[in-house]
Amino acid sequence: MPDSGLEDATRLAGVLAGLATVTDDICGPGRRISRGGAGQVQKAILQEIDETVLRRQVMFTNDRGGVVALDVAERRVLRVSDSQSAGTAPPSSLGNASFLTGEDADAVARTLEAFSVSATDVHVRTALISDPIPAGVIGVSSHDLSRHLLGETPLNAQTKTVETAIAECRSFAFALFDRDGAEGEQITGQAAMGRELQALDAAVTADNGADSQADHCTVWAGLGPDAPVVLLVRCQGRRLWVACDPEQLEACIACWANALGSPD
Amino acid sequence: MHRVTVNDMSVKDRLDGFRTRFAGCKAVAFADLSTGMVLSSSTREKTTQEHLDALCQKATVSLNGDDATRVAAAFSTSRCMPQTAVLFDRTQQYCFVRSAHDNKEALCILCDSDAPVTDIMAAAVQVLDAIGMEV
Repeated sequence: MPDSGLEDATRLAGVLAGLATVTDDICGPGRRISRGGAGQVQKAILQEIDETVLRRQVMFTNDRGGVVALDVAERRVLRVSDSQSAGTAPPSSLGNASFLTGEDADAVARTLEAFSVSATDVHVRTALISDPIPAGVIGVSSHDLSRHLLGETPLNAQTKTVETAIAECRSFAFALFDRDGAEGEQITGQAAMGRELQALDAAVTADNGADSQADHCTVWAGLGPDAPVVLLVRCQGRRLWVACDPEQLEACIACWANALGSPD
Repeated sequence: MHRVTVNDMSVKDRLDGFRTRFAGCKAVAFADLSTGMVLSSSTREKTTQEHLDALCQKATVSLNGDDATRVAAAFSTSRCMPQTAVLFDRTQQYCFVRSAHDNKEALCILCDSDAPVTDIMAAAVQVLDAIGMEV
């Protein structure tokens, strides 16, 4: 067998072995993710969320009878149900739970904290959810949960840096269009290019799914000689467009990464 | 698919070399955007096919999606779609670089938030050129 064939065969064997142990069985005993300690339990839960890309129901149980069921997709918690808030019986499905927004991060964190306190022998079970994510559902990102649970960067620390990034960008951008500026829509820089950015914003794709709603920046480059690079920044519900010289790409990314709360 | 089967070790070697050149590079995948298929990959840590497929999907949306089309219509001076796209959030960066030899193929790179994007994109172009020359 050629080397590439051997590699494929090895990979296939690994996949089959993984399928044999996969825990997509909401009725099974589940996989132990932590033996205890609130901090360790929280980290283990966050890791499970962070590793979930396809939409799944992720159910955590502990030795004290605590149960938390999450609807997770693209590393974001879309819904949550727990035995404490639901009343008596542990949740067997998330059917009645309402969808979350980014503002629910604190409430979700408190639910997970309550589940984690004094818990030992925490297990997880998962099951794929085939239903599409309803349009406009944002959920709570694993990063936001990390900040609430593990005491990382406070949420309100971002507000200043967004304004700072806009100011920094204005110093070198050809044009900037700020749809939700404090004074309403604003165009700065070259007027014609700014109007192109404004037109792009008017035609921007309707937001679908959790991923497109998360704070992030997309940069398009390589549009031809003398063409600018174009950035679309989605941050704290705001949408900004920037056109700048390709040579300023690193600088532009650096200032917006900071505004988005990059760990550095 | 045939080409990758024939030269798979070569492509894999190139991806390994690319990834180890940049300390902040977590994963690099050579993908066919038209089919959404990852043809070869190299990762710093063990990862799942699910994650690689998601990486390829992000590349397809970023380079060929509606927003990319509109940006190209408004700003492209060569009537072409974006050749590169960078997507970043609080914790990581994704760099997607389209092949000049076959615009359906691209290198999809996941790296740390402080990785040098322009250096990575330049190196990605070289890797794609090398792969394209082997056809």
